[in-house]
Amino acid sequence: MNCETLDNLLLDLLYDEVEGDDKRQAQAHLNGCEGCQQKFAGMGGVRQMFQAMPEPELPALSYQALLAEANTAAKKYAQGLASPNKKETESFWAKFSAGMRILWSPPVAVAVGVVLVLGVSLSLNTQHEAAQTPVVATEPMPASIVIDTPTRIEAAIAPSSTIAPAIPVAFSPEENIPKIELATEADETLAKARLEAPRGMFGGKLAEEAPSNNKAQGEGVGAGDIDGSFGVDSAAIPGNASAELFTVQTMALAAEGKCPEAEKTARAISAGTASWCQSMQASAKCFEQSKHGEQTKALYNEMKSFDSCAAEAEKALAALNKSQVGGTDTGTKSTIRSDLKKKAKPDPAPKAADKENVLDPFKKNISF
Amino acid sequence: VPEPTDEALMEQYLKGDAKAFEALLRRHERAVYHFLFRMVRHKQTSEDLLQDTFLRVVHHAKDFQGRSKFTTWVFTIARNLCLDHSRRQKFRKHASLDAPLSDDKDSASRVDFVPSREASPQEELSAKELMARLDKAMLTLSEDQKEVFLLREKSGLPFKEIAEIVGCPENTVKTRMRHALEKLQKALETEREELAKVAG
Repeated sequence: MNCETLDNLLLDLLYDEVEGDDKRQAQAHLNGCEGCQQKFAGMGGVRQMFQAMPEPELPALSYQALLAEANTAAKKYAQGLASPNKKETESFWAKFSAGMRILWSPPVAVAVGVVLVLGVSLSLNTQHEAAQTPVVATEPMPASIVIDTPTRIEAAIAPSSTIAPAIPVAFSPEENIPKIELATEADETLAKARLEAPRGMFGGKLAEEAPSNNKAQGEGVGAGDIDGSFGVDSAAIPGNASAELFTVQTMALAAEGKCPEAEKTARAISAGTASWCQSMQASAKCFEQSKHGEQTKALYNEMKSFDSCAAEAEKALAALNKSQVGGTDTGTKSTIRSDLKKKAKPDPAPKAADKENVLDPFKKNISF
Repeated sequence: VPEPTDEALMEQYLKGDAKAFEALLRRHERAVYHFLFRMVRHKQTSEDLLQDTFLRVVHHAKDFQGRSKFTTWVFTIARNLCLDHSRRQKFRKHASLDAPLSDDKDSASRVDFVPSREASPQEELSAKELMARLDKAMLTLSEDQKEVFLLREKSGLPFKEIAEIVGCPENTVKTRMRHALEKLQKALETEREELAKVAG
């Protein structure tokens, strides 16, 4: 064996991944070649140093939620059910072909045909009328027409103005499982969330690490930038699944009237994120229900400082002031429960914009 | 009684035995955590990523066909989460990503690396020094080199398995490893020389 051959085997030799004749020959060459010995010793030295490198202690993590999730999934697997993310992993083409099959079934085909015929005749009619209309088409549409259709306007605005749940990390689009999981297993998730300690399963440091204002986050700057640390917006970055769980947990606590615990859990989420807004709102409502007006206002005021939930907070504050004046307090608990339901079971037919956000976490949480 | 293999535990889990998953978690949490920690260099983030990794194992257990080893699969998930994370970090323009650990207030403190047993002040100091030196040397590695180095050196995975995890030929993995070792050697030598200059 010469130096070149040994060089090719040096790494295998170093990690003991060479056997038989190759190993014997390599060792024989190494014993007689000073140059190769030096190379080998140099790399071996690096290895030794890194072997001695002290490892950080594994923190005592709470796996309660994870194990509860594992338990739920295990039951499903035992029943022979598909993986929880089956719905999401269904390929586009599978959905497309299923859609086409429905489309080509006789009754639907007839209906589509009728609609097409009517559409074409109407279109021809309109074109004919348009040809007769004087040249006003380029003028701006009268304001009254826009105001006439408030419902449509609201519907169009809704996707961007509603607080959407935080999006899990994109391993790949079909990996956005936690959201779907929450959607399909509301009761189990709720039960699981109740088991969780307020600190949650991802430690209690998130609140300290949250960005100090929403604007900074909107510009793509996390708290980490401020103090020069690495990714700290944990609820918004890798642990969006955790933000989801925190939100559900907060809502469960709020629904049970455990307002301080709910608030504490909400604060474990990065401030200013959609999940945070949702959780803080649930906590505030909880306080409102339990007649802690000052605390309720404090939470709403805090929410006001973040663009993402300022509108909601102001609306809630206005309603609160009104109810205090009028002395009414209408079913907050049921609202929390309906919020929870909404959280657990999102609209079965989400609007295009929402769906897009689910698939692309960058669009929702990170501006760049 | 021999310990059941990872693959056998996965099989049990898919049959509904949640304890089997817990056994897998306990068996691999440390190795996965250390890998994640070295990759992202942030304690809280590594904890989150560790939970996310195993959450994905739960949700995708059916996808594990047993064609590759469980460790290959779980480290692939962990690695992909790291990639996602660092991509986000890049978007967030974290200049500190390549900054020395000492400037990094929220990163793992030196104390995190000191073994939990009672150590003498001198031992503590040398552990810190060693940590600082090695960490500084690690900064010279590219992401590709770093992940291969950590998977081999810290997680103890064979090159063949690493090749599966990172999705490239085994020879490429070995080349990266070789470059990593050479860079680290050079970085450590340079630092030793600098220290010698300062000392005398």
